[in-house]
Amino acid sequence: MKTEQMLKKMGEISPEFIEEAEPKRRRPLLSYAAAAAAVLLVLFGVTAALKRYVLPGTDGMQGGSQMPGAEDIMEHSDGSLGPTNGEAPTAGETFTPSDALPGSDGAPDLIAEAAERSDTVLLAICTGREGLAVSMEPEKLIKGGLEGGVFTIRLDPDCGEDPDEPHIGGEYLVFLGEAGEDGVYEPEAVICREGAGVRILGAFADEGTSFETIIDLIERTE
Amino acid sequence: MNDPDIIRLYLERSEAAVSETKTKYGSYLRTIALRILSDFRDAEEAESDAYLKAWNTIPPEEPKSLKAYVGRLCRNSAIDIYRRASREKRGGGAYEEAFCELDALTSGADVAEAAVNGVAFSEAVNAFLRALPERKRRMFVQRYWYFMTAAEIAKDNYTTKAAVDMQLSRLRASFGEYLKREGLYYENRADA
Repeated sequence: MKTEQMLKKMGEISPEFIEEAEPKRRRPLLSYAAAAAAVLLVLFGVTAALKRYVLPGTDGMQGGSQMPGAEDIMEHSDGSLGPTNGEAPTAGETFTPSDALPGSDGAPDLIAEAAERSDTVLLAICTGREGLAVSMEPEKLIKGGLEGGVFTIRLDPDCGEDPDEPHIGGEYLVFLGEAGEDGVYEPEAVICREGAGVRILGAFADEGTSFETIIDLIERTE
Repeated sequence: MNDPDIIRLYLERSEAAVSETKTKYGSYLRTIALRILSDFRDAEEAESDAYLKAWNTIPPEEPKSLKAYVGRLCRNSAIDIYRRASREKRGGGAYEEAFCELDALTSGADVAEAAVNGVAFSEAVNAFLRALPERKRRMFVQRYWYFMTAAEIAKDNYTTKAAVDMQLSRLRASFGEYLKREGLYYENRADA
């Protein structure tokens, strides 16, 4: 039998095998990735909304709804940072420290202390630790930090590999993470987020890094 | 429309049978033909041939699976077109590869008389396939029925091209052994 005849005869195999072997029409993996990303974004958004508008704060206040929203944190044209009370910053506008609220626990106080000695701003967001969930909302931290001035710490995205070499500059870094006992950050809980007028350059999340260490790093770098 | 309804249209000699077949399986048939023929017009010709042959053969045929039936008609038409096409027009890489693979398997061999009528051969191939694990069977059919490339088979079966090449090589060897064992072909005695 010629090969071609053999191939043609093989065309007569049982239909069940033909249907079984029919190439699948798969959706591209990218679509699944996009769908997964969309689900994560929705979950993130819902969580953020709950935190801000629904969940009570530990100080008895109702979420973030009674304080300036994250969208109020704007980068100003002079490189400073601060809330705008719902108003968009305009060119040349500078932040007024009188807008600041005092920190309600030790961590913002530490930032405030550091701020007195620095002209930079450290933004930090901690969630998950009882007692810090509300008080460490970014706007409060900023305001806590802004009480005594403004200080900014800039860390490169890979700074977690070498926390001894932070870069101080005019950019902003946001710590998003879950603080364990004593305000120690858990690296696996760190998430980066951009938007709301905050430019995130990286996350500083080495295990065991505390506010004190961060401030110490700032001072040593200075 | 489901297959039994379309087949009923054929049996009633309603011309809607062809249009319904085309609506349901047109793209499936074109895909099969394009694996063999590189030219879209040739593929369309193979597809049209399949509709015509289906119209001419149902009845008396009454296929259990219309999809497999018209698929086979289209596949064989495409092979015929491929054969008569000029070499310049050839471009069905996967078909050419599959052809060469089986050609190497049967080179220097003759086919037993029983195989010539085709029925024994088809039944033997079915028995061979039935004895295979599903994954291997899929790969074999995808290669020699659908004429998919090794890369396409690998993607469809979540494996690597190298693994598919190796698997197909083993399957061809065992297929050749099987055909010999069943007496469907033997070494060419003319050379002996």
